[in-house]
Amino acid sequence: MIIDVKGLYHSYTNDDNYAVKDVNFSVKKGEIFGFLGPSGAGKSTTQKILTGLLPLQKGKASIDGNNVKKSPNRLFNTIGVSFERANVYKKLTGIENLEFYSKMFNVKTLNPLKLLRMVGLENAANKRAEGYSKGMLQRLVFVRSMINDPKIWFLDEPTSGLDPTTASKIKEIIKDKQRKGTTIFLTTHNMHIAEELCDNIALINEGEINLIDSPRNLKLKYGEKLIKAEYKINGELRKERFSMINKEEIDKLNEIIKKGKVETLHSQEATLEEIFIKVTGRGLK
Amino acid sequence: MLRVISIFKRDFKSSIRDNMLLYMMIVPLLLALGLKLFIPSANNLTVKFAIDKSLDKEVIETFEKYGEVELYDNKDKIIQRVNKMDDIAGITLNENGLLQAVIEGNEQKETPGMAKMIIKNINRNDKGDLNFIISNIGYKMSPVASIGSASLIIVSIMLGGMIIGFNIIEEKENNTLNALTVSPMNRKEFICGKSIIGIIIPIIQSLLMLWILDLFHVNIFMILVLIVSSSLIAIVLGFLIGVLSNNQIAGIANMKGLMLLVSASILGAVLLDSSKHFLLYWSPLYWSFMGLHGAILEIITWSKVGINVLGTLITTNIIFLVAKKKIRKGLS
Ligand SMILES: Nc1ncnc2c1ncn2[C@@H]1O[C@H](COP(=O)(O)OP(=O)(O)OP(=O)(O)O)[C@@H](O)[C@H]1O
Ligand SMILES: [Mg+2]
Repeated sequence: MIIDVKGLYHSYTNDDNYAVKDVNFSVKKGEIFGFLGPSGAGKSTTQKILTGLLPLQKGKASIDGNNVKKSPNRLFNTIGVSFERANVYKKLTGIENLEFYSKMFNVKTLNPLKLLRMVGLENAANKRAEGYSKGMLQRLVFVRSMINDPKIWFLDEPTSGLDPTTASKIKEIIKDKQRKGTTIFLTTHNMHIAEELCDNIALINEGEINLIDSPRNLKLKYGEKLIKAEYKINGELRKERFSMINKEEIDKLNEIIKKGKVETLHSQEATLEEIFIKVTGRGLK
Repeated sequence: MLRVISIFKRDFKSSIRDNMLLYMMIVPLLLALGLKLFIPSANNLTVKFAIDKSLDKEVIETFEKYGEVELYDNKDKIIQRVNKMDDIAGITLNENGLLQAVIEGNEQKETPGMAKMIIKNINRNDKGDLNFIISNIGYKMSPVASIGSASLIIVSIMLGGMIIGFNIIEEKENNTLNALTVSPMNRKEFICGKSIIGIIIPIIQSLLMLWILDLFHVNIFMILVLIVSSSLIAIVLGFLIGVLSNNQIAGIANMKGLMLLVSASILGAVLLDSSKHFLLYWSPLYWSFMGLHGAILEIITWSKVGINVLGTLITTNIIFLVAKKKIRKGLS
């Protein structure tokens, strides 16, 4: 296991008020592991403990066999970290930010201009970051995190706040990295991202992981099959969803079909959000 | 090492792009130009001696140390010269073969005073080490010039520290410190890299200021030793301000408080009677100022510079030990 976490707790106030509680999970080499949960769930807190930005208070966590409590500095040559809040030098241009950061590594780093081009920032390469929009800053932090071509890559909300085109560019880059063998830990409150990218997802709420599984298994186990029907009753068009595991609802749908009033029928899968609500009792927003 | 230099280069680049920091880098030079306007030209201040050519070479050389020497053939010519408009003291031998000063009587008191003092010393011990006397006179330069120049160097050293502080505030405000923490860079490299600017800037500024103030004849090496040792306290205080201030505004407020302490140390050194100087021994800047002032007046020996450097280092170290915990905590 390339990332191994056991019984992790963290309190910002050093009391019983835990931001993460008894978190356990492990990530296999080469997989994309997602933390899916609403705001304040403890996603960033977990990532910060793993990357050493927060102290390990209680529990065990190791990365590539190194205890995060005393991981050697050189370990970071193989780790990439992207932040949810863009943190760059505002007086430096995009390319200067990348060039400076690349000097911090002992390993071969990727070409800054190429990286900027990958996320469509080539025209802003020589513009100071203080003039970047929020989305541009986020892309800059994203490519900065891959400058050392990391073996293990931590991404905190990599696509939040980006337009769909840019977001899908980012998703492609992430998938491409995985194909080349990078292990990726990402946090998100977006079920589509989680579903599209992750091999395994941890559903986290109020600091606790409720469930870990692959998106497919989650759906098989927890997603009830639904049928969405449009039918006419008393000349009035109605839309309704029927659960295929609820006897009453199946009977009701049968009734409607028998009467021949159905206009359209669609089978529908439960979304991850619906599963999330079912498991944790709350939504992702 | 490469990382240390990269950090320094980044700080420098970022600082010259920040209006306030750029201003802090230029202001000592502007002050030096201003000071230059206030200082009467060097010639007006030099004490002049009209000396009998036939006097001992050593005697003439001694007078040359303290002022401008003009040589004349005999006593009459000397008297003629002394009677001219400007201030000059004639030096000849009296009937008993002893040195005497010939004065007109309307000179400013420095000229005859200086002449008498030098004669007294030559008479007392033939090969006199005059350091003691000189250090109490310092006639060669006006106090405005010597105190002003030494103070400007201290200001430039302190501003170097403040630039470090503001760069740390920037790292904190933008959270860029986190990005460095998750890189292979270690804390030592960070601290060294950030510190360089606090040494380099005062050195460059001071050299430029000495040049502006026509002071390149002083012992530059001595001045550099004093600057480097004094910059350590500025670096410590710069880091302290950096970790204590959450934004530029708070940084400026803290900097003002600090400058008050700096001014107190300099004013104390200038205004207090030397018997009360022990009241300032706690301040590294007092030691720096005394050293720099002496070096600019060229009245200080290396051993005295050593004492001043030692004073600076010991007091800096004490302050560092007190501040260390705060700095370490603030950077993590
Ligand atoms: N620096 C901090 N000091 C005190 N409490 C904090 C701090 N950072 C986070 N918290 C608290 O810890 C809990 C978890 O926060 P965290 O940032 O890990 O959530 P998250 O899942 O990343 O949320 P988001 O989707 O908004 O990024 C929240 O209740 C939050 O208020
Ligand atoms: Mg977060």
